[in-house]
Formats: sequence, C-alpha cells, structure tokens
Amino acid sequence: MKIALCGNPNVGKTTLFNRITRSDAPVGNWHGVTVSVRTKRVGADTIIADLPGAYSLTPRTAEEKITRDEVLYGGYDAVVYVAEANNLRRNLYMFMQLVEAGAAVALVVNMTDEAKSPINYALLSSRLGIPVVPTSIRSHNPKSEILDAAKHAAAVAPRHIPADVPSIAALREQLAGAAKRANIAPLFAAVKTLEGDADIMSALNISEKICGHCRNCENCMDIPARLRYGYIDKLLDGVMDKRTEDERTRRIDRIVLGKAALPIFLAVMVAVFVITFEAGKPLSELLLSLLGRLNAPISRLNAPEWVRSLLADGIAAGVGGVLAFLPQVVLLYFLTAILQDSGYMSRVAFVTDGFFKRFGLTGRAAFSAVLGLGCSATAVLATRGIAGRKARRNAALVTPFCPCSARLAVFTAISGYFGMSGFAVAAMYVLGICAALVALKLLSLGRSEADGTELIMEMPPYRLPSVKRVLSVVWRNTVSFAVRVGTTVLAVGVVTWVLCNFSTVYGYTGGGETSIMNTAAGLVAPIFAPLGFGSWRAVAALLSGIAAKESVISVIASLGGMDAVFATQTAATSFMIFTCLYLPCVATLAAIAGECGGRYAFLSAAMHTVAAYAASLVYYQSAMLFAANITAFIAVVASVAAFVTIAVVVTAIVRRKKHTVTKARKSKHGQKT
Amino acid sequence: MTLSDCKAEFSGVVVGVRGDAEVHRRLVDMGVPGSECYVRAVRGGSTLVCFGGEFSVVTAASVASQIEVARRYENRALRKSERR
Repeated sequence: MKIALCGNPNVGKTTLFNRITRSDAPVGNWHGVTVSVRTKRVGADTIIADLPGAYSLTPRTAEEKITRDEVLYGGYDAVVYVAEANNLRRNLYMFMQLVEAGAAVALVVNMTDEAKSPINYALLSSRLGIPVVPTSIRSHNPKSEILDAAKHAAAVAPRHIPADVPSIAALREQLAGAAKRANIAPLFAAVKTLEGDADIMSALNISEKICGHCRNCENCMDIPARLRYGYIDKLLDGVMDKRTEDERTRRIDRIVLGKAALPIFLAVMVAVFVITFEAGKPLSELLLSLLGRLNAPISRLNAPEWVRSLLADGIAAGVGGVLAFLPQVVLLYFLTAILQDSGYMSRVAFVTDGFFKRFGLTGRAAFSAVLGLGCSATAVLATRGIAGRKARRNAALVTPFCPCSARLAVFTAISGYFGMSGFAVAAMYVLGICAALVALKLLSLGRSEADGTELIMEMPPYRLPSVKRVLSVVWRNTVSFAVRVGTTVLAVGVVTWVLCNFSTVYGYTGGGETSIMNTAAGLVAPIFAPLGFGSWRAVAALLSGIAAKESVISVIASLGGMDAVFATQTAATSFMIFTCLYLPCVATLAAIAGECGGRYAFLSAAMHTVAAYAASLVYYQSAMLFAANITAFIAVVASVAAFVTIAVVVTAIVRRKKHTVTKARKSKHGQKT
Repeated sequence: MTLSDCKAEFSGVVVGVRGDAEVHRRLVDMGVPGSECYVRAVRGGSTLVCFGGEFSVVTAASVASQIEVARRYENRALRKSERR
C-alpha cells in the first residue's frame, strides 16, 4: 500500500513521518522545511511518502507543485491529510480539495496538546463519515491508528461539498469526457476550471475560461472556495469554540517586531557567534592537544616509513585537524536549531524582508542564509520555498557566499594558529554576506520590480524549543559533518598525501620538490602569487577544498603545517579571504545544478572564484602597500573613496533627472487623454 | 480602505480581495475574505496580520493593498446597507 502524508506547511507531517517510520528527517517550527518527497517502507507492504506542505491544490511555489502532482498523479492508495488542531477551518480547505479530486483521504488532527479549546472529534468524524485520528507529540505513536485510517479511507470516501450547485453540476457534465482522458475526477475538473486553474485547464485541453453562469462574473472564480468554506463552517459548528489569537505570541511579537526589531535581531546573531567561538575555543584546544599525542605512538610503530608517514601526516594530522573544530560546529548547530524551533526564524524573515527586497528577494531568503551557516548544499535546497523563478535562482547562486560550518573550521584553524582574535573570523562572515549582497545587486540589474516575489508567509506561533527536536537536529548535522570528515576528507587526505609524497620517477620520496602535487600545483601556483600564497602547498590545499572545504585544513596539516604553507600572517589572512569566497564544494554545486541547471552551477563557480580572487588581491596588495609606504597607501585609499563618492553622486543626479523627465512625460500624457 | 492603509493594532473585517489573480487565489484559498483581521505589526512595507484568530500571515505592501478591510462598526453599517 502506498500512502502519502500531506497537509498545510508546519502542521507536523514530517514529525509524524519520523515517528511512524523511525526516521530522522529534518523538522523545524517554520514553513518550508520539507522541500522534496521523502519515502520509506513500513513493514512488508506499506510505503509512506512525506510530501512538502501546501495550502491548496493551486500551487504557488515549486514545492507546492510537487505536492499537487504527487497527489493527483502519484498513484497513492490513500492520502493521510494532517491538519493542525488550532487551525482546523483553513486546514480543512485542502482536505476538501483532495476529496473533490477523488483521493482516498484520511484525516489526522495533530498538535491536539496545543489546542486552545476542546474539539469534538467524534462529531467531526460522524459528519465527515470517516475516522478522525487526533494525535500529538506527547501521545503514543499513532502508527497503527493512522495505518488503519488509511486502509479505511481506501474503502470509504468522505462527504464533500454539494455537487448539485447548477454551475458546477453543468460543468461536471460538460467536462466528463475530457476529465476521463486526463485521468482527473470530473468534480475536481469542474471546480478547478471554474476557478480558472491554468494547469488543470491545460490538462483538459481547455484554452478559454468557461462561464459559470452566475450573476457576477468577477466573483465566478470564487464560487468553489465560498462553497468549501461554507461547508467547512457547517462541519465545525459545535465541534469547537470560536478561535482567539494566541496571547503569548501577541505579547512577545509586540517587543520582537516593534521598534527594537533590528537591534534585537543583530544582538541575537552576535550572541550566536560569540558563544560559538568563545565557548568552543577551550574544547577545541583540548581536542587538538589530545590528537597531537597520537604522533608518538605512530612513530614507534614497527612499520615501513611510508606507512608511518601515511598514518601520521595523511590521516591523523588531516582528519584530526578537522575534528578538533567539532565543538564550534556543534555549538553553531545547537544555537541555530533553538532559533529555528522557537519560531523566531520566521520573525527574522519579517524583520529582514524590507532589507532583502532591495536585492530582489524576500525575507524568505533569510531561511537559506541561516541554513547556509550550517551547510551550503542544504541552504540551496531550501531556496525552493522562494516564490518567483528568478528570485529563487539568484538566491541559490549567492547562498554559498554565506560561510558554512566547513569554512568556519578553516577560519578557526588559521586565525587560531596566527593568534588572530575572534573578530577576524566574524569579519569573514561579514565579508561573505557583503559579497552575497553585491552579487545579488548585480544579478538583479535591469530587472523591474521583483516578479512573483510578493511575500505571503504564514507566521507560526512561538513554541518552547523541544529538547528532543533540537538534539535530533544537532545529532543529525553533527553526524553528517563527521561522516563527511570520515569519508570525503579522509579520502582527499590520503589522495593528497600520495600526490605529495610520491614522484612519477622516484616513487616514494617523503615529500619535497619532486612530488606529483608539486609539479601539478606548481603550474597553477604563479596565478596566486599576487595574492600572497603562490606556493604549490597552498594551491594543493585550495584544490582539495573543491571536494570538501574541511579538507583544506587536513591538507595544510599533512603538508607541513601553517608555517610551511604561509610565509606571513598577511598571506594567511589573504588565503582565509580566498577560502571564504571561492567556489563552493562539489555537493553544493550539485545542488545548484539540480535546482537551476548545470549552466548556473558553472556561473556560480566562476562568480565565486572571481570574487575570491578580487577580494584577496585587494586585501593583500593593500596590506603590502600599507607596510611598505603608508603615505602611498593613504593616497590610494583616498583616491578610491573619492572615485566611489563621485560615481554615487553622479548616479544619483542622473537618476533624479530621469525620474523628473519620466514624471513630466506621464503628466503630459495624462493631460492629453 | 485596504490593509496597507492600516497601522499596528487595527482591528476589522476583510470585505474583499482585488487585484492580481495569483495572489487573489491564494488569499481566497486561505479563507481571508470575510474573516476578522488584526494588524500585529507593520514593518518595511510588510504587514503582519492575524486572520480569524487562527493564523497570522505576513503580506507585502503590494498584497496588503489588494485586501479591502473595514473597521468592525463600519462593516456592520455596510451589511445593513446591503440588506436594504
């Protein structure tokens, strides 16, 4: 039996999926966590699919389209519709649409522990004619009740809106043949045609809107929606009390979304970073010293020199060097998980919406930006929830500029070794965000007002972060990080060790100028000389970062450490800047290719590398000029500042003149007509 | 008046949704027309409004300008005139 779990966003579908299937799919207290279909087998003969959240079967975003197509054409034996107890009226709307579409639907009412007033499930069940399964995270695992309800749904259909309304009944007859050919239920075909649903009309080969023969053509398309809500209101009469707003959420929002909204948001972000770096530092140093003690027993091993070198330099130094920064990475995951689970993330989108609009996006992009702090590949996938194809693409292209946890490990290693303060690491994040904003501005040049980026976003209520959910998120992300280190980083470390310690002519050389890596990377190294790190070792580290950014540290460690790779602190900082911005890892590029196409993955790689080279070049050459001749440095900076100021002023004057001319033309045209 | 004209703490009823077809469809599907509304916050052109005491939605200025609202006492007068 094939069962689909669907419903509005943030009703707990994935949490239920995890409970029923004993999985650990990502969950969160905000809309748009699930962006693709996830399936798992339960028992011998049942497959359950978790679909992305959707408000109706008229999709607005890519993920809603996935849900609509799965439900209509996915061949499911039953659809388990999950509704939220505190939002039954709106949640039952899509339930009604599913019934009209002929799906075998069962109803689960979730979050019953948070219900503001009692709900009479027995009365609702008798009116619908199907079992209604109430459930919550505190209740027992509802697996058997849900599977039974799904089996019952496959046999008995719930009652739907009356189909004897003249306009709908007539259309149903008219479209019966076309609906049969398109494999769509006639009632569903009729109501969607009346609503003017372009996708369904295209499936039915209807090109023109069909008149519903009601008195007011402007409201014709709303007839089905009015009928559905009228039916839902009758269904819910006596089932529950009239709803009032969540008072706790209202009071907190008065502060969090009031005049102090932006300062509160900035304070929260600063607190996250300060705690991550400062609290994680002592643990990181302890781990590094513990891992360093492995060298002694390895050197005493009774094995050939190349084996000892592989274990010490290729594996222990490389993998250990990355694992030492696990405390910072875990802390970052923990704090962002709390922010997500509490409901504050959606407030962030609201607070930053005005800011993102200047760059052709909406506040929804804030989700991707925060997710990008953990993993860029996940953040790229989260851009599916952004309405508007161009906005979605632009967000996917620039999201990797936000430094991920892997790059954090690189920053922390370099800044820690050279004694730089935590501000150096924070500066990398600021640099990444600024680069993202500049790239967004350039990508949105020439476009008129953002297409399809109007923000209609539901705001979830505040919830106390669930310890279980937060720890589950931290555990999942930490395991993913550790697995990446254990597989990709280890593999890259071993391959790099081989390339650095073997020569095509002499075999094992133990490193040096004759190694394969020296020869290959040495060909490319001169390109990076103006950036301060034109050595083959630095280039080898950068090349390894294409597979996984954590490999950069492991390769540096296996090639002799920071002193061997960087001549000065300035060169190391320049390298840090380059690592912050250059092309994303293979997993992220694959995610971009999947979302936007291979051409845009290539564009993203090129854009990132050019930005990294430019930023690194400006920094290193400025630093060298400052050290060599401070007067010349000040003169250059002043000239650049003057040039930028003149350019901004001239642009503003030209824009004002254009605006005045356009306004004058418009008023002239208005007078003529 | 429309939702974009309302300040924070405004309480009223949605009397109609006009304008862009896609946005109209979404708001109708969410049950916005005819429901009570309360404006919780207005920020940078976006309006956070609670509909029907059940759910809260952030709408951009261009969407808020499509939602026609009336204060509760205005709506009662509107319904009286429609009944006549």
